Amino acid sequence: MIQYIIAGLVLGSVYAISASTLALTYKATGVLNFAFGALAYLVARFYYYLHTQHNWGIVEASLFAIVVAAPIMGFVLWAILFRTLRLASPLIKVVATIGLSVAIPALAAIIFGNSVILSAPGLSPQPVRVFDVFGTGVSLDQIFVLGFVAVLSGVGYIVFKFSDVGLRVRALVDSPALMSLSGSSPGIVSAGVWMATTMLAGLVGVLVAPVIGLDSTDYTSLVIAAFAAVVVAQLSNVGIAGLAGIVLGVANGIAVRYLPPSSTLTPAITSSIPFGVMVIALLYFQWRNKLSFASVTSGALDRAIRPAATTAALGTAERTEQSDDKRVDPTTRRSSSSGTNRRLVGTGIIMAVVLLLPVVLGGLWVGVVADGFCFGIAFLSYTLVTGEGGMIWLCEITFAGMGAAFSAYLAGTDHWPILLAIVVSALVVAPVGLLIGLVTVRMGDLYVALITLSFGFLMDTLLFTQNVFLNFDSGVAITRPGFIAGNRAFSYFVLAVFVVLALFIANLRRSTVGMGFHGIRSSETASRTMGLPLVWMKVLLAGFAAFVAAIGGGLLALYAGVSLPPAYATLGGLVWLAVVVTLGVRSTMGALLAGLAFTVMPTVFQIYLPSSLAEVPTVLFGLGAVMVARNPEGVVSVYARQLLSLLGKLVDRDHYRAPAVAATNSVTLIETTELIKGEGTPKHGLNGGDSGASQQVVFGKGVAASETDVQ
Amino acid sequence: MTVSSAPGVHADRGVLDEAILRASGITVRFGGVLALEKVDIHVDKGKIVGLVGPNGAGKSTLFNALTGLQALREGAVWFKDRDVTNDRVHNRAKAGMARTFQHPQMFVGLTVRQHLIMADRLRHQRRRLWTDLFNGGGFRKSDSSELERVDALIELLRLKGVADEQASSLPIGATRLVEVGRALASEPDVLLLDEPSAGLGPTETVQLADALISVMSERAVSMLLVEHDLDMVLGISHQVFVLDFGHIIATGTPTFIRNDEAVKKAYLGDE
Repeated sequence: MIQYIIAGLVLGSVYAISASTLALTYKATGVLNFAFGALAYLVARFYYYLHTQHNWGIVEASLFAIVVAAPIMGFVLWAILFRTLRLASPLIKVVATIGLSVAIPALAAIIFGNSVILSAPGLSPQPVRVFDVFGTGVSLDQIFVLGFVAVLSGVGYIVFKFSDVGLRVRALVDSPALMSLSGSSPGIVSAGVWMATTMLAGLVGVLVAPVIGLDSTDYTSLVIAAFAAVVVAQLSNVGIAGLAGIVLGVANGIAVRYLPPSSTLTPAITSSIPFGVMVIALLYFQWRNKLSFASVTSGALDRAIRPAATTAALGTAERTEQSDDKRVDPTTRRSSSSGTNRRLVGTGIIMAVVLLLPVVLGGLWVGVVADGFCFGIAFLSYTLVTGEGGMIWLCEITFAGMGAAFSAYLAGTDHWPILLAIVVSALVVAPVGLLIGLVTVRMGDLYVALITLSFGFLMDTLLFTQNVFLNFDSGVAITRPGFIAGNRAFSYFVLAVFVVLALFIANLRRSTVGMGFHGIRSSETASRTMGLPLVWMKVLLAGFAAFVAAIGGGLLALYAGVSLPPAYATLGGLVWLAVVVTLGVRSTMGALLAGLAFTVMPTVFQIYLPSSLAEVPTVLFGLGAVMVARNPEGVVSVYARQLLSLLGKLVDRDHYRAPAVAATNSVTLIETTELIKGEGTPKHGLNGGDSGASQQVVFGKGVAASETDVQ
Repeated sequence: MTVSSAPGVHADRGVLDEAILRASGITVRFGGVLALEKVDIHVDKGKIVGLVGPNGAGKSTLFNALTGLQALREGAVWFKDRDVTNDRVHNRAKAGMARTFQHPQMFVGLTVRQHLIMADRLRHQRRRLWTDLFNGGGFRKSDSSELERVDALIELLRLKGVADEQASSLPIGATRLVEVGRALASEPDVLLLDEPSAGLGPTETVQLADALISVMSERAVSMLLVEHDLDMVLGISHQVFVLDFGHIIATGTPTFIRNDEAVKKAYLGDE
């Protein structure tokens, strides 16, 4: 028993350091760092590079990797990303850090190579010494883990309770604005927090390397498991997060002790423990009405007196922000008649090109395009749930996997026609989405992200590991019906399904409920007071998104000829999200292009470029998601609309040719404003004075015009 | 001075013949802070009622309590002779209670006209929330009666020139009118206005006051006005309640309030 408890303590210590650091980061900066695992991996990989591949000593390599390189990395990330995130919406924070978690491992693969490293050294010399503790062997690496958690707990407590540094961090937590007014720089403290926490991430990475090897996926999974402890600590209680981490680890050790080692369910259950705990904790806090972010995201003062530089960094769209807590996010987009026309032209061009692809391409590429169309359908679920509903769901890939697994089961075992099986499976999956929607609809955005992520992991371990779906790791084979047996016919069939779903979404967006979703994304309070049934709107949207994801999943399996559940692992969904957000989460065309990019780009790199660059597309997708912090509508979407704007100027010359027209518009607006203010009366503007009023109006029009330009 | 019963009150029921909205014994506590204590207030049919008070008096809290955004520790809210204390916000809205916000809550991506159309549909064609999804309603134009109602509102509030502009990009004076329009499009029986003149210059305030009086007279909408601008409130209200430190300290006509010693003390101190 002792050995299981010690193993649990070691795992718990890793959870504890990770969870405490995550909680500290969240408390001080308002960001739950989904990239913590990726950062840990990068530092551990760098340590391996120095120590194993270049024969640096343990002390030199560890000091350089953890104490020098990691903080520098933290500073750089703070400078280019994290400092702009504090007052961003939870959606942007989650997406940006997820983008980072996608980009970093891929970047590491480009820098350090793709080789699989199953065994990596930790901080103890090789061969690792093993000590006898109560009759149980405990390795020096394990002792290091236990030692570090003890030392860090003590040092952390002293620093935060009694030192000036702790005082400044606590001030940062309460209000960066007031901190500025008291003469301290919140920027420096914030940068310091990110440097310190990245260093701790690096420490975690190096400490766990001997246990889990150097696989970035394992790092991310491990840290996401530590999220459970962070949730138990309500995201920001550093001490409880650490304690909960240790308890989780020990619980895992005890479970391993008592579960039958030969059962296939044992690993599934033990790895599910953190996610089960996370779900239970979230439901408990919701029941007790404790899911509040108010204490950790600072207050209205910080928003009101936010420095101009920060505002500029957040982009033009911020000018339209509401007084509600919802900040501008990827789900907000302007529309105008000319913009709509231009979008229609753009959509027409894209569809024309897409329609030609299966004809003009041949061989392998027809299949790649067909696969991309299938992904496009699955990605439409993000267009719905995130783009329209403004919710962060991280389990859409799980719904796709369920759609694939159920339809393959119905077609393979029960001999249903495969297309019918896909539709019926999607109808089975939709209520799951409805149920999760119902449970989470009153939770904050970040908690929704966490609970859907947990659901995904639970399905990964409990459902997708069932042999009826897994079939001894070979998956369940399915066959396409004769009329779509060829890739070309299949691609047009999938495209037709996509168009039907996209039309439905376009109708939804323009309908009464679509206008309602505009309201919900901008201000839930105002929407409620108008009488919009928010709960049902969101829940039904979530259910429909699950349906669409399941259809996409079924078609993906149909293209591949096999349903293989591991292809729908939740962590893969983070890449899906990154791709969709990069291409534009509010656009159905964005989903289609994201699907194509997701299959075409890797194939191009694989065929035409050196294998060392194979991860470049993943890096680009990840960075695209990171850039959502600056381009909330998706970086490609923004550039595409700028391109379309140019095209629109060529097509619609009359509109842009005559300055007189623009002048007329301005005059009309000014006249309108005078109507509002009262004709012939002194104009008292927003900022006081006549000129202020007029400038505000022209500025308002200027904003509209400039944003129309990019549509 | 404490609030007195309006004519026609059935004190035992807490309901009165004239009042369309009535709150009695409202108590709200935030931790150790007693924000409101046993506050009674009522809005009579077809009247504009002002609610004023210094900063921190509890005006916004009372306002939120009436609309259902703030849970009550004690007390009851009656709307159109029905106890709505436990009704959710959107159910009070459906029953005919509309409100605006101190910080205008414009919906990003919607034009002024779309704001009004959405509110109008929620009032007149609520089923379209769902039927549009299955009959291509998103691609159909508004029907003539809807257009008429919305155009009439745009005309009333003098928003014609900006009707097809993005509401969120308008100056604050216009967004306040859009909020009023959005509230009126739902054809409420009572309209609650939260600091409608905040951020407006004197002329804009006068314009807004004129618009509100037009709305009241043309549409017979009762109003409760939470406002800092005493001149505006006393200029357009039939009755005024004064709140200070969570208590109603005076109520009466604007003339009476203007001369009330308790009000003077609350605003100017004991000197």
